[in-house]
Amino acid sequence: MNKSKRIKSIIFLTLILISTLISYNCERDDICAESTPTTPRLLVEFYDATEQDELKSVTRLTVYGEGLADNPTDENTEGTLIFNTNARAIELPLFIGLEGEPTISRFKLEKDTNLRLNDNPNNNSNIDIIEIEYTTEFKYVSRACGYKSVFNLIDVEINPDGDDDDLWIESEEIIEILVENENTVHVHIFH
Amino acid sequence: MKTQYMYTSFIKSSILLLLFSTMVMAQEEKKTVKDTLIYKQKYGLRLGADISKLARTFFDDNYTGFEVMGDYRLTKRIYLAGEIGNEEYTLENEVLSNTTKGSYFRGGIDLNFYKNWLDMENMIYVGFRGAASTFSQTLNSYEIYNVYNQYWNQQFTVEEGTEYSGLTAIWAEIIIGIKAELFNNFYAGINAQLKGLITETAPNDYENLYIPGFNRTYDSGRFGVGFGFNLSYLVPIFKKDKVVVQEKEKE
Repeated sequence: MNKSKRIKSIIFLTLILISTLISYNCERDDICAESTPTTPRLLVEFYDATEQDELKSVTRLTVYGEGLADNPTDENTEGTLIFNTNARAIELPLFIGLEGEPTISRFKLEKDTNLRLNDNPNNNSNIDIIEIEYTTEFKYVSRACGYKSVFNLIDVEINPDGDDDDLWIESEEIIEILVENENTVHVHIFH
Repeated sequence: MKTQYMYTSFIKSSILLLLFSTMVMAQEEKKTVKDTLIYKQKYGLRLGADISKLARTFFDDNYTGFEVMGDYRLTKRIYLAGEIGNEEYTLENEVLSNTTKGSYFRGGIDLNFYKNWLDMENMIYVGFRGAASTFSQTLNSYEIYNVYNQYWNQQFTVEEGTEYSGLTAIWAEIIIGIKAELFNNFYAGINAQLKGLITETAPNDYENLYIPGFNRTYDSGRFGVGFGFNLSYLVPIFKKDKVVVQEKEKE
């Protein structure tokens, strides 16, 4: 009988080890799934200025954050979101500012990029600047993804410095003031 | 060659088996008498502590905790059982750091399903518990998860330290475990717990990532798991007779 007790104590000692190992393994970190909606981008669609219900693509559009790129020459240039492409819509990643404080992101929208890239000095592309002002709000997502930022749009302005007298964009309109996900378009641009 | 050998061995073993079974039959025909044995069984309060939590406190920098347990034998098979504990755990991953602090109580019964041999008093048991915890969570820091954060060369981390206090949780547990007497009145036990969360108060814009006693929560549902290894000492209060009837062969 004493022998069986000794065997039991040996079994228990191994079980201690197993139980500690299991409890460690169960604390593994989860992975944030790609399908989880986190910080959204600002979705912009281009419409016809005269026929305001009609989507109208912008010819040879190049978009980049102001200060991130300068006259990019190919799509691999850092900061280039879209390069020399006919586009009906663009997605703009916004700069995340301190929570609740007005923050500004500026993008350069270059139309007819091909005219800059060709050798003809008589024609050139047309760059318009778009300035987006918003406040950030941080929201909890999950233990694996942490927090995301949503944006409350304050203003979207074309030609914010007022020094561009050759605009290809006619006007803009905020469709959705709260940029919470990428399921809806937030801003329309008419040209 | 080989198949032939296999056949012969098969036949041989079948014959042996037949012979053996007839021998058993013959034995059963022998007359038996009933022999009654009486063993004293100890009843009392068993007190102990969870050693795995102490070990984890020692090895895991993000964890501090202890649990004391006790059970009281009501009948031959039913024990009144409970645990009280305190835990502090810091969850740290790539996107957040959260510290949970709090105490818990678990109470219920253990049912012994092990038919003990002679004078042994071991347990293989199933336990049921109702449990409650009060705790606080401190969100030490978090990151804004942004797939495009490299665009503005941004890694936005908020060092905050928001404390959410006055949180509570209530859950139920099913336990499967064993307890064995290693020395006189000194027991060791191991158990696994399956927990189902009944209700919890969580912060409005956040969630309970860890609940003391319940362990980590899962995004997928209300279930949790736990493991325990405990050492305990039985304070014998009284003894009861255990009657064992054995059948013996008549000489």
